Amino acid sequence: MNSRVRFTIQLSIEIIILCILLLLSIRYGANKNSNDTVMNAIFNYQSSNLDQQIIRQIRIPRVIGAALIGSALACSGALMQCVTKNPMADSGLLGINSGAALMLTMSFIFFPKLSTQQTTIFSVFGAALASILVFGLSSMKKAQLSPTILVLAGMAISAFFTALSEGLALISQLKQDLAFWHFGGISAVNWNQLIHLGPWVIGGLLVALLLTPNLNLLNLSDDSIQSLGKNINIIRSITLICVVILSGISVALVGAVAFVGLIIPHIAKFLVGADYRQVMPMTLILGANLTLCADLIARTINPPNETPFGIIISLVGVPFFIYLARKDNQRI
Amino acid sequence: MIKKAKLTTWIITLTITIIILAIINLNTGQMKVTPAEIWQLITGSGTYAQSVVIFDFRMPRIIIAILVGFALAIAGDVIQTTTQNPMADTSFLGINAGAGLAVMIFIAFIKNQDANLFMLPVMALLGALISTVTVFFFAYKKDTGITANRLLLTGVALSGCFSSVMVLFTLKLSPENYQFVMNWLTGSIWGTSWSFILIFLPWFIIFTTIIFSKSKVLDTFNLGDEVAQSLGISLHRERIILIGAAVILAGVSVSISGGIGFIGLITPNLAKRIIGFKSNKRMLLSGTLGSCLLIASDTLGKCLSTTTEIPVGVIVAIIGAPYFFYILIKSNS
Repeated sequence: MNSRVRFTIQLSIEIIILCILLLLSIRYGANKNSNDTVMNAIFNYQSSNLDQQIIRQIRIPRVIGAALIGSALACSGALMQCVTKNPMADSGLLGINSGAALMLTMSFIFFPKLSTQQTTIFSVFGAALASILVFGLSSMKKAQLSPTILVLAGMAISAFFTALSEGLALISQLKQDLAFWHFGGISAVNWNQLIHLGPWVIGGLLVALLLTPNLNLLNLSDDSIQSLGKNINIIRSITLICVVILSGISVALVGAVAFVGLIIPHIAKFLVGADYRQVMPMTLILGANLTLCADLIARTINPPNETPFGIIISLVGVPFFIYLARKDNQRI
Repeated sequence: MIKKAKLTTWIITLTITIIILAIINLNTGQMKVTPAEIWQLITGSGTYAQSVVIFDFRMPRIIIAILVGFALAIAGDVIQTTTQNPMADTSFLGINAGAGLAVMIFIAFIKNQDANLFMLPVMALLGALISTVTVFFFAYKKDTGITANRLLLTGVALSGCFSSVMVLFTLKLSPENYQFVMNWLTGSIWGTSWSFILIFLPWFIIFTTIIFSKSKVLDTFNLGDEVAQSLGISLHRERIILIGAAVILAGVSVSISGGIGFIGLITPNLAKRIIGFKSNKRMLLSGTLGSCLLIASDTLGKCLSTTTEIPVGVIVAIIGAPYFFYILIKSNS
């Protein structure tokens, strides 16, 4: 019972932090708002008031988007670390983001008139392609891939996809349009996108939460899982579909953001232990907290200009990655 | 004896391939020059325009491609042998990203680029070296020194960091500068004049000589750390010297050719498969394979599109990636 009490306390603390961050994000930005304006915009909306309009039409969708994407990236990171039994797995590091980016580039070049929803399909398709490549290659080997090899393989796959998309962009003279997308950040998220893509993200997150009892099993050897009467391939496939949907949609919405999926599951495990039934909810909330925080900093550090929020994440993520590499882990 | 004959056969075949590719490369481009006309140029007749195109633009480019391909391949070979990791490459040690960031900062802040044409490779080299020193610094730990895996992972992390800082500058660039930087990052041989070759050659000769003179030491790395140490070789020191030489070689190459990956990754593996583990032979073969791959990619890029040039780095990646996937499946980690 002790661990459950601790988990409840930790989770409630994180949820309180999440609420505070949500309110702060809505309040601060290029222009500050009073608490009254924020409350009015939410509960007593008057479309003639410009401040309220900014909050309602621009800031709220952006903040919700940031929170959802943070959860999605963190969740896909946790799922991948679980499936590959590899502490270094992350959708950015394994090249899944760059696969999505390649398909997006192609859709920009060949079908420039598509709506955001349609380009998202391309992005998810690209993410699927890259994950099939990464996991297909690593499962073709009989021996388990070591974390370092997996990271290097991911780097090479990223380099391949990036070379392709940059080459295509150069030939077709796409220029900076793509760069803006790559690092575009959360500023472009609007209600329309949230309504269409939000349900998919939430669905993916729910499936991940439902999967958690099975995820604990994946730490066992394949034989013991089979002897428990569970079909390991079904668990793995569902997990991978979740990863593809979550990371594909995140990339389509905010560009290639790495490191969220790497850091958050580790922090969650540090806080609540190794049981995925407790790790997963923590991961979702912590992921949302991280991206909200990064987005808030990105908006307020140099107003009215926006700093790309991927940089803020990297500033946290790179030291963490180096810490993981320096930690004398037998498996690395 | 069979081994020796095998190496000679391979080197001769590859050299002939390189020469054929070079001749094709000389002929392709906006201005067509047939082999007969090239012969006329060499013997002293031929138009002025043709001689400018051939001798001042295409010839240096081909020579740079051959040298850079060779340098990148043996640098990758050294990194793979010293770290005992078939997936390692100099581009993973933060060299490409560091050089790219330096070039981007340089282009973003210095307006008059033509006057500073020769500053660009210097800046790139500086960026490559600074980033490598940083990688070594973070990979170092008091009790265990620098382990191979930690070095590679730190390199990956810092590459990620540099590319996200690059974003800041990307958005500041004018479209023309952006196009130039993107071309640079994907890897297009842009240092195409004899003066670049003159700058490059001393570095190339010094550091390839150092690496080849240490081929016996490299052999011992294949035996494992314990055996090497029992032979009286100071493993850490040799490893740092060799990796340092490889990094400088790759840094100089990248600074005049742009961020080309994959050559140092795949050619050593291919060479190992063909010739075995003997370091001096293997490095000679992987270097020649590297030259061949780079010049083939350059020629292919020129032939595929007549209007815009496809950056050679893209072609190298397209050719190299499938073989890399093959290595990944076959290697026993």
